[in-house]
Amino acid sequence: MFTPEIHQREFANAILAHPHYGAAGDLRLSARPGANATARLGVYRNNTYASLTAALLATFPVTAKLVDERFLRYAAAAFIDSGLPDEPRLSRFGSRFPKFLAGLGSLKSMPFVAETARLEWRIAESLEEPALISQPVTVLSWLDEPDGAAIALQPSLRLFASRWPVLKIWSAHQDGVESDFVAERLLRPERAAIWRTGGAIRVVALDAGDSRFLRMLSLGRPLGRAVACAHAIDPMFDLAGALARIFGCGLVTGVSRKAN
Amino acid sequence: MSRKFPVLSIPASAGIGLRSAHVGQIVSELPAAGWLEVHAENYMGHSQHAETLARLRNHYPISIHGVGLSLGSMNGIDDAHLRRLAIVCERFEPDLVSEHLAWSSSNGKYLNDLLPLRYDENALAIVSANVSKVQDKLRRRILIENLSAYVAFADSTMDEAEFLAALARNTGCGILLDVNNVYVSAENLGFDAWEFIGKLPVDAIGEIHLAGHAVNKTGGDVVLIDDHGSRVPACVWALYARTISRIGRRPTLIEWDSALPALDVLLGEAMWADMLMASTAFQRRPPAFAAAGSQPEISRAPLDLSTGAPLMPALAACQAANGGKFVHSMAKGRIGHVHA
Repeated sequence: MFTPEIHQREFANAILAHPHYGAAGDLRLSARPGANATARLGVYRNNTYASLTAALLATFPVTAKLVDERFLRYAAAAFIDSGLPDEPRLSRFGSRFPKFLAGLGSLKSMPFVAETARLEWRIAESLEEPALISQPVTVLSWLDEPDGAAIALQPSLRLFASRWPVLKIWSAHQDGVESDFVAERLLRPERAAIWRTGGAIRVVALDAGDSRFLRMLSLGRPLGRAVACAHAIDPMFDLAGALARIFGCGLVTGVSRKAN
Repeated sequence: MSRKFPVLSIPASAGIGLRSAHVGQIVSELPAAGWLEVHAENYMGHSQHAETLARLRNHYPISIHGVGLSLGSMNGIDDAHLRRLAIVCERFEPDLVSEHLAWSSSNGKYLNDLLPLRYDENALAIVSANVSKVQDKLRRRILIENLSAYVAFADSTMDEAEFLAALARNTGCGILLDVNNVYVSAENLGFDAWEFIGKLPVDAIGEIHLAGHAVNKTGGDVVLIDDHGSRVPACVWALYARTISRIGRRPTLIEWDSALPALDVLLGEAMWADMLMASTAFQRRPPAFAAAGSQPEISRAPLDLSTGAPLMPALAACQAANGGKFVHSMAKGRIGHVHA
């Protein structure tokens, strides 16, 4: 007879390998007289795969629209085959799915699909973060040495960059949006800031300067250093405009005199 | 394990599961549900749903129902997930916390299903330790729910009800009696549902779950699937009515997780549960009450449903609980329920 630990491990193996698990007899399954207990392992397998697939469909709705839901279900099953979740929070399941899609041979000619999934995962992450009270731009007025100051941003902020026009693809597939967008016509990089406001998600396109500026601030770099980095990538970087935008969007949650 | 846990404060009335599709309507209308139950794992982040639940906490008693702790794991429970559950409990201060007599994780991998145990003394010792650890961490009593099972194990030395009763004795935990699960497992595994309920310690039962199930026919096998995707069927109402006739009112949850209906449908099911509890409480009023003096003698006759055929399954259940005899049969591939 299996030890308790091995019995559970083998039961899990039997579910995942069903109907190809070869040693179900060792589990000593039973059921109602006349029923085929081994065949019922299929119920558990279906519960596992169906619920995890539903979780992926909920997290990657635009990706599913791009490839058709039937294909996404097929890809989800293969992804689940490649590894179950590490923990019970389904909102954390799917972090590796974009990379998995990128590696699928059948999607090689459509790299923007995996990139769209990468954007959707960033959105899913953002939705699980708190929305803190934002600060007005006037908090800058008491800074005597602004170059050394740190600007804290919403914890839900995620910065995204892609060589593909993923934002346009994502926007074109939101409910109620009518778009004649054709991906092949717009092969250019896009950068975006993603954050949560209440129950809504905001996805805003950024230019190179703003994107670098926000990335430096989000890493805790001093304001002066963030400005220098933004200027390095975009000599036309406009600090006053960038500050107005990030304060105006409610992205700033605090200002401290010295960055760590 | 100490039994010094706070007394449950959730009302012995019907509540509903809070699902995201209904949240907006519940926030705006604050419908008259007795209480709300949420899945703990959906509130372990800082999403807007968590902020909304914090607000609803001011209007409704809240029950936190864990689905991922894997209390039945033979190699212990995940400390990180237990900490997350503790944080959820600290944040929302629920009136009731529950989990399942099941396991979901094996070798660090999560199957996202509630899997059955081999019920024996070894498992009892390990699950008792797991439950005690959770209660100590949360500093409160938790309720443990019976499972919907599709298979059992020939090497089990006790049944699930005996295991739950022993678990409650060992740890001081309560029992969340899922009547639909009892019915589903009884049909799937071939045991008597009423006998199962009879083995549970009445005082330990702190909550009841009700839900619908699907009937799956594959080849010659008929398997009931606990999908929480339909109204509570007549057979489950009948078993529920008979249960509360025996044990008295309990907080009762209408669970509905797939193919979600309009909120009104869910509230309607909760209304039937409240009506059944009220009716049964009337029937159960103690003889001493009448003997004390001026109160009239309490009728033991079944409810008068003289309008003909029962209008709703819950009414039929009332009739069955108060006067009829509940019989279920499974013959010729058809599941039937007969009130005799």
